[in-house]
Amino acid sequence: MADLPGQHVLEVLRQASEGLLFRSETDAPIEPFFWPDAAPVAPSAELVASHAKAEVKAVKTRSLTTFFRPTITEQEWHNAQEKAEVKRFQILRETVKSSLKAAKVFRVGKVEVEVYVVGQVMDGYAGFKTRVVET
Amino acid sequence: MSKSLFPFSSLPLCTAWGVILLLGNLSPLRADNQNLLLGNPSRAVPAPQLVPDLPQPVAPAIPVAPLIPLDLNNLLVERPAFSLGYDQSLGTAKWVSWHLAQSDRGRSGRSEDFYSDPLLPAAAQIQPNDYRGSGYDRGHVCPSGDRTADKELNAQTFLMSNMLPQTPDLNRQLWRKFEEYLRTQLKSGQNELYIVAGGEGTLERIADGKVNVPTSCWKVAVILPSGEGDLKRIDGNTRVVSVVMPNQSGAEISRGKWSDYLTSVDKIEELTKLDLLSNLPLEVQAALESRIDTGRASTTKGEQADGGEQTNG
Repeated sequence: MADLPGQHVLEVLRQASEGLLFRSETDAPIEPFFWPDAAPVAPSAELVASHAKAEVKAVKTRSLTTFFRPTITEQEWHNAQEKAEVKRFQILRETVKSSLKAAKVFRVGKVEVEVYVVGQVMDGYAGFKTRVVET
Repeated sequence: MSKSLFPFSSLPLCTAWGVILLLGNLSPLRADNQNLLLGNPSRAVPAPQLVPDLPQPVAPAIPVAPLIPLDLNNLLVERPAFSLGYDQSLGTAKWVSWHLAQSDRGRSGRSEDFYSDPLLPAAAQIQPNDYRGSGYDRGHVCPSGDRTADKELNAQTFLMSNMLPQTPDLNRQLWRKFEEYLRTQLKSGQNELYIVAGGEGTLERIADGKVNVPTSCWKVAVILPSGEGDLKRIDGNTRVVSVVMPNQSGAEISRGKWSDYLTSVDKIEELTKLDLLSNLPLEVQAALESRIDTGRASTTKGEQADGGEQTNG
């Protein structure tokens, strides 16, 4: 997969996530970002810690599959709105897979957790940030 | 399920099964460690078909009239993870009751999959999106953290019938801290707990009026040394910790100590009109229910006050 420019990926992610909320004990907006970097490599906990202004030991990883699973699985009790959201999250997941290299999920903190889905692009790192509440 | 239990399809036997199922749920003669051992706080009644862990009767050829009328404002729904008394007019449970032992804790992880309760009638179901945009968290009554040994049991804690709309400050701070404190009181299996909790009052209603936001959230925890014959072992010296916490925002809640919100079972009964610990002998109830816990376990070695942040046990 050819690396795409970060600004372009940012736009694509914005469109894919427009109006979507990530559900946990709360509902949080999805905020795409682009971190320019002249020589990007596979994203690491250190990278996320510096952007999140957190300690590296507060950063944990999780698989993309686990992160997306509740959002992309249609349930029999879903109404029309929920079915439409599932489809949009499926598109978002595909967008992440096709636009970002070495994409991973990083979680910062506990209880009120900042979640970064981030991967490498041509000129830096891109992805999106959201929040989950887990008590 | 043994097929030999249900070789019949005749009406009298189905009625008999119906009676047995209903009486089984109303009977105080429950086995140890059952979620509802200490009593059914509102005498909630199950719909005959809503008992998932008991064998279901064969469908009769002629419909059987329910022996006790179904009350959707006081519906007993029991599952392996917890039992609850559901009130359709509130869109929430009135109470949730569960047993907590060290064996309930493990590494199953969190489900994160909120879902509407399929055991409630369709008209009574609350969806996860009913809380969206309300400003309230989906606050667990029976916590996910009390059910981490088994993926299926953990998944059940994410039922919307196990949620109350709680302010972020209450859900994420004060309520959570008391949940974590109670888990430390397991003391690696030395103790077991019986817990019942719920909300009370109406602050406002959300989801087009379907869901009631309580003005306060309460919890009663009976903490006893691990063992058998729990109903007989609970006596006037058993530790009972009760709290009632306002469903509010602000520093008092976000930075408060759970031990600042101690109360008695009597006060909670007065507030909620529920009958808690009703399966205990009356003299034991009298001894326990007026008491307010000190906020610390009364073990010999001078423990510090436990009201602040705790690590999980």
